[in-house]
Amino acid sequence: MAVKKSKRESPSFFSKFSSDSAFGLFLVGPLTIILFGMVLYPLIYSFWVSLNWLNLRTGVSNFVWFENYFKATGDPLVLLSLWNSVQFSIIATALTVPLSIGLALVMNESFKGRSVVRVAVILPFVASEYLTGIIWLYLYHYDIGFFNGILLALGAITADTRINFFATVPMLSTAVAYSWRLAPLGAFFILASLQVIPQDLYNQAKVDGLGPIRRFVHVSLPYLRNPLLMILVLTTLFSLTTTDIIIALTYGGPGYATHTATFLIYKETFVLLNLGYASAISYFLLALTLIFGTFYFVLLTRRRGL
Amino acid sequence: MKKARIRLYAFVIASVVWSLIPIYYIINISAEYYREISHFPPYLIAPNPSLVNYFRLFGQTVQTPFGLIRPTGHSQYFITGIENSMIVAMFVMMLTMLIATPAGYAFGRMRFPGKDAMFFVLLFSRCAPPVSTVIPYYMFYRAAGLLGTQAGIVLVHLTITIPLITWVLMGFFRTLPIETERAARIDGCTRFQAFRKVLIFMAMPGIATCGILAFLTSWNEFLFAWIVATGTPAQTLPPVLLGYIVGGAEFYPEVMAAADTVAIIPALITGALLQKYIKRLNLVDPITYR
Repeated sequence: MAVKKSKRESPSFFSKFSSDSAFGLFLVGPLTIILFGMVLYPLIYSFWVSLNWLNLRTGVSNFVWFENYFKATGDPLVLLSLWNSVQFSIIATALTVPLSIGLALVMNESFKGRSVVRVAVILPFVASEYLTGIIWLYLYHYDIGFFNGILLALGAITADTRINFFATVPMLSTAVAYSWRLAPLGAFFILASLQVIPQDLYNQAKVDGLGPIRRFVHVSLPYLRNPLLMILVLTTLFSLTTTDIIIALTYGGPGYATHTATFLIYKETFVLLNLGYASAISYFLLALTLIFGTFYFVLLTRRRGL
Repeated sequence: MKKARIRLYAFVIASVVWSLIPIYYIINISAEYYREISHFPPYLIAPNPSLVNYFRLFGQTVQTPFGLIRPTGHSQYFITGIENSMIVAMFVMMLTMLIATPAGYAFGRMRFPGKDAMFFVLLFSRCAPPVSTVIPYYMFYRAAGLLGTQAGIVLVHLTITIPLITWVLMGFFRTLPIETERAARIDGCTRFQAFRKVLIFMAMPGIATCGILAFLTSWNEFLFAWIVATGTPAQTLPPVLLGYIVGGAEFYPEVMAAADTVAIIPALITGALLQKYIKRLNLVDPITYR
């Protein structure tokens, strides 16, 4: 490395950061400000807002203590929305985890054009979430949709028995689109862990006469415990807090079928302009997220035999 | 053996089809004329593929076999949307790297008071639903006059990208060999000189990848950009695209498909770049943290 020795004693602005910890704090200083700005300030401010009845349209702003919270517990729409969020999260996780395992197992095999396949697999993830919503709108559409189109072409359905996806399975349709986007992330997490498994273990299992499924369960799965739990946490958190795909794909509908808590918060904030009430609801959602988060986190960090 | 090979290729094809069909279908729609969109049953392969919709998107009038086709009303918004997205994403990328690179280095290589606490704040800062953190930001922006400005969008994007990129870079700095840094220190560098003259060049691939990631995150971000800047001259591409559906504007499915295809192009390019490096990034999770 071409480093000049003459610089040794040069009086520099940074020379006073001789000790490690001071220098470290100097380096993370800007980040600390950002973190405080994005975590602490919103938390305190939105708590303050949630104690007020604040409506931007009427301009009414009253301090009402915890009335917004009491109102939310008695609001059937809040309960429905929270339940919808839980449903969405569970379905999305149940789809994403097996999907990402499958994609990772395929990418882990050696075959011609593997790098091309990897690019193809990661594409849904780099396409953004709102675009995922818009794209899947085209796939599900009753008249011009791809799924109905291909089923018609195959002769599986006729023009009268076309499937109206959002009327029959709204939550599942949304969750499938969501996992299409999220699965590649999980797949690359798992792929990284799959590649450290020694090949000998597979060969031994083969000698012992284990089939591909049992080889996966007994050889690979123990190595995948950490990435799998990580995906579980991430998918749950992401799906509980997502708004983009709901806005782009269903806008909470049809009826209240995909009316998740985040969508309710969005509606209260930016359509009805009830900022105080929306903040109170967001604390219920935050509590839900933290319950799920800590549950998985305990699961994640608890040491077991592995 | 041969049977296993066939089964493998079946799975490979299945995963490629699953990943690419949706993207193929919007490209397919964007290549059709309006009269072909309304045809039933829908065409799975465009019968007369053309770039007409892309010309309409960018405000051109096109002479086609089916007559003169005029541009859509929102082409001006689309063009300024692309410009704004580019400007915002560039600034976000530069500022993010400026702040996150030293922070990532400090997290990956140093001990300092409060490090553990900050790491967990970093990881779980996204626990709160974005839509609810929007409320405080919105009130702050209203008071500060940042609504509908590019600076406002950049600022709000930084709150997303900086924690993310710091986290990714932290893992990357950890994997770099410590001996080189030690050698630089023995040669008389201060810690900062070792960072500035040696380590930063070794970390260049990771830093470049993270720059791309920051650009992409900003380019793709929808919710905050929507709330801060919809309907203003500063609006970025995602709110413009969604305006095609929920904005109550005239609705042209084929033009919207073309717009989506344009918006996805940076993602296609970065996807190819990312998969090459994604394995080297070595993300740090709460288990491997210690």
